Amino acid sequence: MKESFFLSQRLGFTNAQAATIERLGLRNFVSQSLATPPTLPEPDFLADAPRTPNELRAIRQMSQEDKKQAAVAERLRTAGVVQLWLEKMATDEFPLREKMALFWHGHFVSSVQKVKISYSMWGQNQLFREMAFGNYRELTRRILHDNAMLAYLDNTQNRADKLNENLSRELLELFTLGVGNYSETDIKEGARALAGLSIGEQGGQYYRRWEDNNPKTYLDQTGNWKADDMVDHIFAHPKAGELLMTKFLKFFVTDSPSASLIGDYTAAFRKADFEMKPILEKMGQDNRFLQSQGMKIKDPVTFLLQLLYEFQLDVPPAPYIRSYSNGQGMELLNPPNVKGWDGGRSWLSSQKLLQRVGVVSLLANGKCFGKMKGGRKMANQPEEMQAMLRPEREGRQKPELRRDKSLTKNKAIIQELTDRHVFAVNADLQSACEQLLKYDFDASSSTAQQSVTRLAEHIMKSPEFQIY
Amino acid sequence: MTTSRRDFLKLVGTTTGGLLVVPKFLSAMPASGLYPGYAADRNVLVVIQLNGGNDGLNTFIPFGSPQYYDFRKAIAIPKAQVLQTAAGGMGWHPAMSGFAEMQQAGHLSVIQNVGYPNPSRSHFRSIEIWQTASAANEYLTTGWLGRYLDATCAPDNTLGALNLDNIDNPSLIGADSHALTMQDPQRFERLLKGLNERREDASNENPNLDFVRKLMIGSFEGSDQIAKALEKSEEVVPTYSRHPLAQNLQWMARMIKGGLATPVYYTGLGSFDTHSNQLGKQKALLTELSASVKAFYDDMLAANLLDQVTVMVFSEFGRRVKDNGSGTDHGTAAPVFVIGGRNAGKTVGSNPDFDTLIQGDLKHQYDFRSVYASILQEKLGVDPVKAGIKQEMLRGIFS
Repeated sequence: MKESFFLSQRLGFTNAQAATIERLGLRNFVSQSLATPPTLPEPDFLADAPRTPNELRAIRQMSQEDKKQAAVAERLRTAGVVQLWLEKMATDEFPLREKMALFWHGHFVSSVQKVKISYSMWGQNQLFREMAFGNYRELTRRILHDNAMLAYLDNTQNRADKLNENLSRELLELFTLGVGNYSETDIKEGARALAGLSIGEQGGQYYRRWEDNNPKTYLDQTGNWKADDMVDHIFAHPKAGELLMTKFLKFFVTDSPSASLIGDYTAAFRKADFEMKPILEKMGQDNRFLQSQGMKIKDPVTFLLQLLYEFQLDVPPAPYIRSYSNGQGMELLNPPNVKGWDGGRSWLSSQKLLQRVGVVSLLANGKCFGKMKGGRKMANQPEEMQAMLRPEREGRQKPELRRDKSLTKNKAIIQELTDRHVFAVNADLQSACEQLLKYDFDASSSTAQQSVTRLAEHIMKSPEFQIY
Repeated sequence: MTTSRRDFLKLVGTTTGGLLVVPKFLSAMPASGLYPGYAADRNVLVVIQLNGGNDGLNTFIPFGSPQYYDFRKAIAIPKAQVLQTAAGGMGWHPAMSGFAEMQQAGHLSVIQNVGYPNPSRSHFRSIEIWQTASAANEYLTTGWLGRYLDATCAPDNTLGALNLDNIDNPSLIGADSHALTMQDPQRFERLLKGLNERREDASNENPNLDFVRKLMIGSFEGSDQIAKALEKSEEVVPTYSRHPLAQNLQWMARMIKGGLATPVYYTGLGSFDTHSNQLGKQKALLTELSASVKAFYDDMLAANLLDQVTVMVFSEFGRRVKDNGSGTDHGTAAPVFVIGGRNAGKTVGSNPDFDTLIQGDLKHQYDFRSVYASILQEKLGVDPVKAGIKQEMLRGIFS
């Protein structure tokens, strides 16, 4: 694969930035990406979304029937947020910020399935967007005060007289230090320190009557600690940063990072006081990153965005994508569990692979993307919501494969497409390509575009295309 | 489903002077990949993994102990609601009526207080320990059933285990790839039609690429046999509910009845991670568990296959003995349930002991690996050591 395509895919999602990378050079592309401000205004369809503790309480007190209606509306609003995010990923000029937002979403996990409040999920998504290139310690602090997180890990139930360990445990196990670097006592003491921290109008806040103000011993330090103190103690630990850098390298560089690579990035991260920007800059100049073609299996979102880009199709309305993302095990805002997506080989199984291959056929042939889930419920929704989720363009766009139409010889076309799409071409793939687009290919024929699309379809169904 | 004795012999046995010698491991499988019909010595294991840590104390309930009610002020199941079909002050959650019935029929064994030394209260570590059958401080890359399949399957057999789930299950990972993961076989078949016809040889130029190629090849190899098994067992017992677990078990039943030679089936349910609102959440999940397993049991019983099919139900840990006001935090030991496969129909082990709690959690009485050893030895006919399990097998589960 040509380097600019590879970098475009890894620092964003698709081949869309390849030309910019060639023009600016990698270093400038990264620094411009880092300098781009977060820009995703709150969508209109969230205007009526319930958000304050009082509004949420009001819903809980509704009749069963009204409650059901409200839940459906919340699910649709969430679908809207997912669609908005996918569109942002697909169209952003510098998508690195969205890529990092996705990284944080997979790290500081919350799922709408439990949280159930679209506005909280949107708020968390915006936090990840805003803090995409920010400081890890600061983001950890903010996430402990994030309404979605507090609901997701049951801290809304954590009170001095009946402690709930869920958030305290995952904070250490999955969000910061990792197994082996804390004790069961730290979990229990941490739960005491977090007692009374629950959702509020401006994000999480402590409620005095549920707090525990006795001294706690947390990571060997004793005092009347609260959430922010816990974060300070965690980041003073010599292992802080290692877990995150391991995940970062898996996300951007390779499914199996070596111990020395992890060590190197962890040291740099700690030296940078847990700032992400220097780490992204470092990666942009690192030969080990430049030479990591073929070391990652594509996640389902990247796979889909690439197909949409190459066939010049819009992101289909979220309800249509659901059976794909469901089958692939990657629904945005709904990770499978608090550990997030494992990535690497877990992205594929025999069945997931078959589904991916099926989706290539659908899109290449201009078929409707999928069935919409929940169509009947949609009829009862306000019009602006229907318009958002069910625009007339549903799957009716004609695919138009991106390619260099000035090329006329079969081998040149094969070369261009394999350069765009696969990190390696072995003899088998090459000969299959040459069977599909024979030496006597006539670029002026009325079926020329169709033949080249057939070729692209084959390449996209190859095992090589699953990897980048 | 009748078959001539000659066909049967051709596929699975050899004769010596008129005496039928059944190969030691029928899991070595007939060449066609399908059993021609009823095979008395066939053994199938169905594993149901309760994800997220199921609260054992509120599933199989020590209602006879006043301590249970002391610790569980907010979420104890009132004595009057407990299904009191077991002896010794133990009984079932009201949603577990199917389990109670199977127990009364003598087809369900409970193994109490199953866990391991130095228990991890992390979901991810603890499930890894159960799946790889490692010690708490030992990290293994293969699963216990993956090692069993490595030891007994032909190298190119990709149908040693069928995992009905969204993701591969680490229990089934071995040195070789003998397991297929699918959400449901019908859909799998449909998807297959869209696949390239080209079959590629695995190469070793890039490990990720090898992996993807093997998946593609594997999905071809297995699908024909699955389709045949489904075809052979088209009659469906209508008692299965619409729950996803019931649907998964129904598919497994069809494949088992259709004679698919796969010895291991695996699926999961949950999340049972009931830190809050436990009563409602667990009730819904246990209802699904009980109804689904009971339907599968009825199906196997009607097909005269129950003796050949062993179902094991487990979770990565139980939950904290004392509740937290509306749910329970992560705990340790919990009961494991075994259904079918000629189990003894007994409760193995003593009631949960509230007097010897460690950090507020139950102390384990049996190591889960000794349960595995017993299944491997007594049901799958393989020395547990071959699957990397050194623990003595737990006697008394099977008759």
